[in-house]
Amino acid sequence: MIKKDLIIKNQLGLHARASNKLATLSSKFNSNVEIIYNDEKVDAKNMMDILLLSIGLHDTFTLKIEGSDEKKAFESIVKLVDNFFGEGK
Amino acid sequence: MFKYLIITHGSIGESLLECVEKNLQKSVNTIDIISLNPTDINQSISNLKEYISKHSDHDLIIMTDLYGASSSNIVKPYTKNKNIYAISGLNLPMLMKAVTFKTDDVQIMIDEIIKCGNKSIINFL
Repeated sequence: MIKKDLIIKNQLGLHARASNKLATLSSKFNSNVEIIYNDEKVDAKNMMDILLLSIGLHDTFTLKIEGSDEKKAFESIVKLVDNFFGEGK
Repeated sequence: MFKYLIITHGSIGESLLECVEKNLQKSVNTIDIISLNPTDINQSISNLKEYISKHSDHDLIIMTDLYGASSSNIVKPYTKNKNIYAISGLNLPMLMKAVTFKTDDVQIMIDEIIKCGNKSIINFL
């Protein structure tokens, strides 16, 4: 199991398109991927559940991944967050 | 696989679908729209009847914008059909949930859509 805090760096935060990218990416892996924010835990493969967390710029959330491909999933998601969800800033 | 029909006043349906497609950055072909004809409700009833007849082999989830209004009332005669499921109070989150949530169980899908619609109404002031 991998559990680590990540900070949102893109200006618009986990808005609709970013949430969709995260859910689409998470869905590619067999592992269970969860996001924990403000004591609420959601399935990271569910775009609307991510969106409704309303995570903004500089907010910290916890990424929890458990399963056969957890390492690969974790690296891919960290890369997506670090790359500003492909939004440039 | 479900088929979705949204029935709304004016061009609300078209606008909501356009927003879903922009947010998801893809075209959505599982949602059809009937916009109420304000001057001829019989035309809308006829369109609905034809649509339901054409999709009798699908589980059909109908979402309407206003319970008690014509957009919902014209659906009521069909809710006894085994393949017809109807939800009112359509909002953008509900539509996005319908497009993005994956399940083969129609009842789970309906529960998720309603839950998402309710959960999206937040007093954040």
